[in-house]
Amino acid sequence: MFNFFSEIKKCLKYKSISDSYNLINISGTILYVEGHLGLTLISKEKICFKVKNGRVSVEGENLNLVELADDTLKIFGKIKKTEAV
Amino acid sequence: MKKEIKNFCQFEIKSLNQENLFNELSKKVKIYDLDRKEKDHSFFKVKLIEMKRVEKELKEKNINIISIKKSGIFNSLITKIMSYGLIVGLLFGFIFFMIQAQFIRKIEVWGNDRISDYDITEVVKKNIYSGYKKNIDTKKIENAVYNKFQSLSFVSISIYGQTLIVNVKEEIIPDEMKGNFDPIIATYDGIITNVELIQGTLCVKEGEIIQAGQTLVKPYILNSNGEEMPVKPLAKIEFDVWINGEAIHNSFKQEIFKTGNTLTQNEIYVGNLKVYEKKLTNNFKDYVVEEANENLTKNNILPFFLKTTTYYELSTKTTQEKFEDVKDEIILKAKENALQKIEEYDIIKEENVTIKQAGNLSFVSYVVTVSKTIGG
Repeated sequence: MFNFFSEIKKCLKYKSISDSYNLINISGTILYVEGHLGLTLISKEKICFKVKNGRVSVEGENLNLVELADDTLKIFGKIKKTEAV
Repeated sequence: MKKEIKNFCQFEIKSLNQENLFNELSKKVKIYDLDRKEKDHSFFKVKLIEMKRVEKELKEKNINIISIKKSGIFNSLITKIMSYGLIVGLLFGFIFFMIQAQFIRKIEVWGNDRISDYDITEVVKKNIYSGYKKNIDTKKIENAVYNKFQSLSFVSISIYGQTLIVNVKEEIIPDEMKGNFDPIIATYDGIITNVELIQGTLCVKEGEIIQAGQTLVKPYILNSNGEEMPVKPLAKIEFDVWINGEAIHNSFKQEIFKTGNTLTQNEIYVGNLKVYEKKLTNNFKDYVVEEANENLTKNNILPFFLKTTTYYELSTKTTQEKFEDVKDEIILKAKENALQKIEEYDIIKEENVTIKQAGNLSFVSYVVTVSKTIGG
């Protein structure tokens, strides 16, 4: 099955990171995350979650976790900063 | 943002370390619109079908559930159905009643005696088909029942509510057609005084002496071919019956009485063993004996009892009583004996007394002539 992120990684020949996480920021309003390993912080200003080999921190205003599944999540709000640590 | 699902359930919870809770929960169900109001206070949604599962999970983890709200089209529909359930139920009930009221539910048969309900009902059922009242042709059922049972003289079908009533009348069979009849039998000895034959064959005539058990009228008539045609015997037969009462008188009477002399013997027993005896010589010519036992102890270890035997001397006195002196009394006694045999409504026509004497004995016979009637 065709996967957008897999195709990008294949083209860029970064096969070693193909099983890590993916983040998509849509217009600074929606952040779609694939491959998260669990939330570590939830607040209106900051949402943090674990990923493979690290942690991702999302900062902004009036952040809402609109969907949370086993390995995906969607954040809605004014996203100011996304940082992988 | 457009929701993926329309029917969901919102939980309001209070607990610490909610990140771990949502991580664990998200492994089992998808969580929507997670809104953390405070550090220990959150709202989140799950699909309506996952509600019970999530609620159970939260309770197992001792999470304080503040509220659960259901929403969505399906939920609204269910709520409305529940809200209007009674009205809907009544409406459905009324509709069901109206529909089923159009059908026959019960068949009753009235007026039958010899033909069973079941037989008539089976014929009716075969002609009802669906049971829908408007399709029932009562005339057709009436004809079917009437034709099926020849012994019916009248059939009427009517419908009351959901009951179909079959009203029938059976033909009345005259007694003459029924066949088995018993003859008229004399119940007393007597002499026939009057006979009025209505039906049957007469076996006696006026002035004839009859005996109890004798056939008076036979249950048939002879037709022109000499054949016996069974009929119910009917006749009014009047006859005189002689009823006899007797009394006997003996001129010499022997009266036995106790003289007052007694002799008493005592014996003491232990069980069946006699241990003491006081025996006297009985010189009485005629006597009667009385025996009595009395327990001397009140235990079963030594059951002593006293047996007392008393002899009473008897004597005989002969007295003479002339018949003439008590004649009226004896005749009255004989009359009473005769009248006791008479039934309440018997008409007494004549009374006769006959006295016969043989030695000391006098026999008084009181005969009452009574008029009786059979039939009529």
